[in-house]
Amino acid sequence: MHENDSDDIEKIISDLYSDVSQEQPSSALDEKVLSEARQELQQNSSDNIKSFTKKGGGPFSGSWTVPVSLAAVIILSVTVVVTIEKERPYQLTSTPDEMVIAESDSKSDAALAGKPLLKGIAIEEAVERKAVKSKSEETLADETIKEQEVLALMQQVEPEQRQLANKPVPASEGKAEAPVRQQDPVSAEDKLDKAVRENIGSAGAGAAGSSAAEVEIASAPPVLTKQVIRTEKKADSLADSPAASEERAAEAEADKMRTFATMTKPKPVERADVSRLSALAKRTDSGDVDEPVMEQAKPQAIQPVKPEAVAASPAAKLVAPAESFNAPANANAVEESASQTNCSALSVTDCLNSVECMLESGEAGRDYQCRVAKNQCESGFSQAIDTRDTCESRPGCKYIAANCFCPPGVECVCGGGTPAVCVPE
Amino acid sequence: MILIFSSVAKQFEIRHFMYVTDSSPQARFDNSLSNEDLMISYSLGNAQAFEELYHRNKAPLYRYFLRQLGQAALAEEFAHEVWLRVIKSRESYLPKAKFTTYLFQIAHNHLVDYYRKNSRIREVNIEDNEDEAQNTVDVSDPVTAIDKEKCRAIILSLIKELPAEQKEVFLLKEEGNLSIEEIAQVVNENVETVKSRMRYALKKLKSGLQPFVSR
Repeated sequence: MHENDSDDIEKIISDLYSDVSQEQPSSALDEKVLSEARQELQQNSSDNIKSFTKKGGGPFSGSWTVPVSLAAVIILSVTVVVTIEKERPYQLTSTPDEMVIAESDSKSDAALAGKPLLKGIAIEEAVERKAVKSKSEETLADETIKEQEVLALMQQVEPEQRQLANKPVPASEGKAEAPVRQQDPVSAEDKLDKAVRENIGSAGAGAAGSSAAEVEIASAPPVLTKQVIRTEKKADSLADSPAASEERAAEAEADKMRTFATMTKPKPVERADVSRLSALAKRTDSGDVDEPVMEQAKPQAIQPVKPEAVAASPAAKLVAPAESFNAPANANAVEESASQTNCSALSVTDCLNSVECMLESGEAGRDYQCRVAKNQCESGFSQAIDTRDTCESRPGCKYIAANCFCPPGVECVCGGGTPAVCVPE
Repeated sequence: MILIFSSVAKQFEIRHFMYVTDSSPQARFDNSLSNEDLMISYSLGNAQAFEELYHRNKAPLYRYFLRQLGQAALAEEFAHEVWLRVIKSRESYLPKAKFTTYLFQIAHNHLVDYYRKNSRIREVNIEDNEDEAQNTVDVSDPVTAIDKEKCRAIILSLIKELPAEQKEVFLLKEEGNLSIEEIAQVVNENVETVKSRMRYALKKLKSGLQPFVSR
């Protein structure tokens, strides 16, 4: 009841107020406001026409410009980032372990010596980069002279090695008379490395302001040191005349093959078997085959095995025919069958190291086949170890350098070509 | 990215709304078109829409200022400034609420700014108005209340006597025809406070008009 009275009073007050409240603004104010409203519209329309003309009136003009521009920038940025990420395959090819080794400091020689070969290559590159950065030009010049001397020394050592390796072993001389390379393959390398190390060490010590990297090179393992020297020698050869570049390229191929042979370090069993076969073949020709050959040809690295186990092993394919060496009439057949079996069964690495087998590329240029050496030029020529001098020291033989051939386990610029061969002229 | 798309969508939404609304200059306006439609039409370039909108709302706004300020010239000046602001901000207008709420929101802000700058003047004016009201109105006299003109003077004098907050709430209800919630939105106060102010304002007016009403 009371609320109804209140509502009634409120309504009465409202009606009274609406009755008495009749004031209106002046007509001058009306005209002023309305004219300003019209002017504002006209001004706005002219501004719109101007801005439309100025911006070309495209679909992205006006208020669309900023959002569309931002969206375009973001899309482009994302596209660029994704593209850059996709074009980085080299990061995926290197294992984290190798990356760490390549980038780590190579101060610990003992640690370097114990690394696998592939990791060793990365370490070589890291040491090489460090050495190149730290050395001054004068130091490099001095070292280049020293390195040339070292290479000359190497060239002297290698023919000696080859002569020792190819020298037939008299059956009566026993183990002590075996070829140097087969009997003690490390000793020749050690001799070479020792000479290289001494030479580099003296160069590093003589150079003023020699850095820690040089000391590391001098104290680095032999393979590392040689690799650095060869790489720098290649760099020097770039400045020579074009006439010598071809010869240098062939030399570089030979260096690469030598490096490969050092890296791969073929198993003593197979090396011994190959050399033994060579010796056996020559002795069979002369009819001088007897029992001690078997004992003599056994490598030091191999534990004595039972005849049954030897017969079952792949090496037994080489060794087993030697049991019939008492029959001279069968010697050629034994050699032929052994060589055929051996060459076809050898891997690419072993075929390259072998002096009785030749690795040649197939018709496609990429399928390699290991076959028996056909002539006197091919026979006794190791594609991985021997050089042009070795080949051409024989009468009527010609050395053809490798052409874009990349041995397995070695990082090369190109591959799939023909390996080095020694062929009759 | 989300912000960009939301911005683009907002732009599209506004344009789409404007396109749907009839905005041709030749459109005939009647009472079926709301204030909001007229304002949108004006923002799209229709001057006649603004004319209609102005004629609908010019008197309440003017009286709102007149009752608050007590001077016709000042009330016209304030009304002019408020309408100018409406004109300037037509492109950014969004029909989120009633147009009258939007209009009196601007008016209220304008008034608050004015009071803030001229607080001394307001106090003096209030005192003067109170003195004037006491001199000109005698509510308890039943004879003066008979005449309509006198009744009008009594109501206006009672409104003048109201405190500023109660007066504003009463005027927003009577002139702007706003609800309690909309008044609360305009004066930026909660609903209960507005209700309380309104109750006190009506109570005072009722007590002043009691002899006239009872008769």
